[in-house]
Amino acid sequence: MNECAPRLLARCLLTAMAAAWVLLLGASPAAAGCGSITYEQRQADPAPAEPEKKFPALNCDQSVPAAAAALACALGLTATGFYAWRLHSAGAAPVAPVGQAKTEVVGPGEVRVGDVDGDVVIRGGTLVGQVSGTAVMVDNATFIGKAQYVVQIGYRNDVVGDIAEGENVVQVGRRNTVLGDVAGKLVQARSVMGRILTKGRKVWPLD
Amino acid sequence: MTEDPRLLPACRRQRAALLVLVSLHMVVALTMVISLVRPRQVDMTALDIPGLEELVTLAGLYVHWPYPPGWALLAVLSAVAWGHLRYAKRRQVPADRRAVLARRYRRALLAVLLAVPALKSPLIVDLIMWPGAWATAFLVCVPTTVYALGLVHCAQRFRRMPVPLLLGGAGWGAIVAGGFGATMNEWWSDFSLLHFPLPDNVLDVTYLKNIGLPMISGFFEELGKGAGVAILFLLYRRHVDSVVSGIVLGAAVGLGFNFGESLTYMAYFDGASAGFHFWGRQVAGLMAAHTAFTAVVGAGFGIARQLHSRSQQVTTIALGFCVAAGAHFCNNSMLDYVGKESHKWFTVNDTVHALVLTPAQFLLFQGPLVVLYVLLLRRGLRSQEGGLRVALANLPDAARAAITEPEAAVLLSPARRFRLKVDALRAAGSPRHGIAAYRRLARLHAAQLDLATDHWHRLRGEADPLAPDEATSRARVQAVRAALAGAGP
Repeated sequence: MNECAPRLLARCLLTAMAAAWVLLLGASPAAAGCGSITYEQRQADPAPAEPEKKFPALNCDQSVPAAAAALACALGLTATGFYAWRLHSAGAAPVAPVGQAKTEVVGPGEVRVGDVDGDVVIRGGTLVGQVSGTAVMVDNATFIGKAQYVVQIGYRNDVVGDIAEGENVVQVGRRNTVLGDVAGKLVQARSVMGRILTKGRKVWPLD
Repeated sequence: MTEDPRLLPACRRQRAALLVLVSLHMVVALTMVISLVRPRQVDMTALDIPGLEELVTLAGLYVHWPYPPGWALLAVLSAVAWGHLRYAKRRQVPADRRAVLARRYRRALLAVLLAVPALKSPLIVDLIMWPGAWATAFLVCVPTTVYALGLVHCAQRFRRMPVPLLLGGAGWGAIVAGGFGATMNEWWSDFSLLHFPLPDNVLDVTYLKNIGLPMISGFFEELGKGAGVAILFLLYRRHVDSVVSGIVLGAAVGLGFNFGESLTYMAYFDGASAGFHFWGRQVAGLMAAHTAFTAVVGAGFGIARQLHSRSQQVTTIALGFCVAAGAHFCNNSMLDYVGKESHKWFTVNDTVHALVLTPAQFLLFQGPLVVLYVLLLRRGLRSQEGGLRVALANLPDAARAAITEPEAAVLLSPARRFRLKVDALRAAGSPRHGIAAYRRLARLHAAQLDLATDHWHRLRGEADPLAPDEATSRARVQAVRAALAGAGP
């Protein structure tokens, strides 16, 4: 925020204050009409018509505004849920296109939060973010996010998330985990004896 | 050499916050003095109403009842504390033990200072008079108020102030500001009755009272709430760092005040008009009225935090207060006027009046303030995003390990952060682990945003001297990251 921004906001307050006091100038005579008059005015007109005191708060059936309140609360909660869903969907916007040749590696104990443009090998570490290419998970790796392709190598893997098409899943191992969505293929294997290639490039094993 | 422990806090900001609190008591003391020294314009004995003078005197005492005993207690406690500390010094008690002693006395004095206005809170009287209706109103109002607090908390799309600070603000609004506002309103009601010559018609005194009540309540209720904002701003200035956090803090104080006021109105006459007041105060006007008024007060503090000139800061805070007090006065006057006069213009049934006309009046008289604070919030969020973008792009090399480039992109997108947290929540085997994962990831984001925001303020030359330095913030990020790695999904 540059220096002029707070000044602009301060001017905003100044304008609002001026508007409020203009309203007040209008409000005071209006208020006088309902009895807020001076004693001298009162003496000059000793018996003005007494305005009828009427309080809808006390007269109306209390269950009606209560029911309206409950309905409004339900609508508010629905709107909040809808907003949360929209926010969640917006967070899963398509990741950046693949353009990076280098394969990134998340090492043991490392936690990385953020997107990976390209392929990544998560070797015992944690990646929280989206991967535009292939994510290879080995050695108790954790991946939270979305990837185009996921290859999981190891004994214990689970799938927690949405996979669009069942034929994209190739499960070999007993238990594997994907945390999030997989757009393309998911391969889960206890071990991979050969190599994993993506677009002709070797991703696994690492050199 | 260790400084000699004193009763007053050593920190300048804490002393200033204490001064604000004491000032509220001084305002009350001033009203007491005014009431005591005013000339009696009505000769009670001439009215020949038995027991009227005693009744008026009793009513006058009721207005300020907790204050004189509270001030006496403060005086005694201060004298005891001063004497005890002097005695301890003479007996050569180690300085650290004397510091603990001073701190305990300070807390006790502070508790009395806060408790005295709180005792005047209408909530206490309502609880005694209508316990059943009060308890029901409490249970019904808590969810809506908590929801609104959550809403204003989530309005901070980037750095968020700690939840306890938000709750502290709401507590101040409900109890201390509520008690102070009630004192001043009651004082005016009492004072105005006898300030003017009594008209022929005794019932006309209510008109005289009503002349000033909208103004008095508008000014002093905002003063009470604004004092809470000022105190929290002084004590936690690091967290109130822009117009966004200022609005959120002010709105929290206002929501607390609205909560207390809702309970009062809903409990009246054993809940005779509870449905209407719940609808009006906790649903239709939840984010307007007190929330909007005090949000603008908070906005003034938030803007002032980023200004460099002292005169501009003071002017901005004063402007924020004037806007809120003026709008509050205007709202009270106009609602009163429309409520009493509208039956002359048209006739509608009471249900339509409650469901349609009441929200329409809120829209008309409180809507402009809501629009104002929403626009200020929107502008503030945009400025914050722009500032964070610059700060993240200009992070020093040492901080790059704490916030990598991909992480910076995630930090700047609230949707991405939310999505990742939900993914972490779903990924866990059980809800307990899911919530833990969600919270751990949220902590990491919060620590990184703290680091980035502090860097932004440093770039602007407005860093809070009491904020942790960059190395400490970096270490915090790494610690949270290590905890996240160690815990697993």
